[in-house]
Amino acid sequence: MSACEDVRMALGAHILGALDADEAVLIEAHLATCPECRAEFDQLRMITVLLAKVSEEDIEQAASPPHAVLDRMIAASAKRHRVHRLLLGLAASLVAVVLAGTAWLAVDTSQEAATTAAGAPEARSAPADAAQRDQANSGRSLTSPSESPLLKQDEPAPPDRTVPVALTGEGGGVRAKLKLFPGDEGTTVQVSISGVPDGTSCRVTAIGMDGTRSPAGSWTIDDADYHGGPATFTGHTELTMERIRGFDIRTATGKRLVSIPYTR
Amino acid sequence: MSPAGTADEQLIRTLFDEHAGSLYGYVLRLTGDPGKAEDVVQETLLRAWKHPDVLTDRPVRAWLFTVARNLVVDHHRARKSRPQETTDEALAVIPADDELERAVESWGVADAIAALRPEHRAVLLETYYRGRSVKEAAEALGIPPGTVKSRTYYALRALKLALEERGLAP
Repeated sequence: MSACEDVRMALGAHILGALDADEAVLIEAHLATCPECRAEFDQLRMITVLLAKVSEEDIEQAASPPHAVLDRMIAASAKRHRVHRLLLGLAASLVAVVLAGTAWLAVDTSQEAATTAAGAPEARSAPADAAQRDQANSGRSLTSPSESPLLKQDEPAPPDRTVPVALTGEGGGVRAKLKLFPGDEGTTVQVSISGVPDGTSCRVTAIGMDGTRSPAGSWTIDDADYHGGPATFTGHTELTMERIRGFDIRTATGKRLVSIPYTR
Repeated sequence: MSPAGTADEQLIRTLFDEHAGSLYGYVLRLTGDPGKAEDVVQETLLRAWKHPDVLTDRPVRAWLFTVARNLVVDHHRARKSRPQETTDEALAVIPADDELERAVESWGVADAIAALRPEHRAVLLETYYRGRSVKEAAEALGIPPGTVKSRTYYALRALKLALEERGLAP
């Protein structure tokens, strides 16, 4: 092993002041005469400036992140996906309603056309008229919303619930609009809020008829969320529409920003 | 779990592994409250996850530490609005901008050391932070003095690379 190699191996301990005095003197003597080892020494020595900026506790902290937070973050991201899937499902059922409605109109129109066209030569034949009326009625009943297999499959809610319920609440300069969408596992809540400072953490809570408080999600108002209009957020509560008395939106520290009653 | 969920989970784990330890340490110093520090770390990292653009076009560390500090300040302001609590002490811990820069740097150093191989980290802890000689460190770690020396040298070289990767080269 050459003198340089011996010195290099001891350089770290020398820089950190861990060599005994005799050995340190030998290393210094070599550094005074060897530019290469000197350059390496100068480079590594700079690191001690940074080492001095942290404590052993800091290093232990950095090496042991709080794992409970990881679990909560993964749960939060999964929840977000569940809400997205619910909304996608809802959008699909709305499309189904529109398609079914269109089909119904198409059948209805063709029936009328048939009546008009076929009616001309046999205009005075009462039994034929009656038969055509029956046919028209049966055609109508086949495509009525309550009987459509498409609707039965995709939209269990009665027709008056396919339109989201809109609620508003106002107070102290804060204005919130909520849209409620019924779902299989509760209610999806679309919130748009204005009058809340950027950076505020908001928690939406659904309040049940029996006083139950069910969290519907939390988010932080972010400049990027505003897009020139109110900030919007979509959450989900386990409470079904019938069981909801209202909502409140609070900051992360529990200060109430606004209450939104569900008046029926 | 859908493929999108898996990719999201992967990003969350990466964010957590790279930043959660030092971010938590930083926030804990500001708040002194482990529960609140966990909440702030969670909120900060979830924001980074929801806005992945912030991870590409600016120094991630500075962004995360700024968001975390702002969340702490918000908590503090909310507390201040409640009259029953005095806040002079709490006010003293809210850092100024240059303190934030120093925190980003020093927690980056802590991360770089934490990311070293365990045997490298161990010799640095013994020789530098506990002030032990090569002989004392060899006894504490149960390895020959020559190994303490060479490991200390390689640990410093590895640390230099880790610091350069983090933009913290001296």
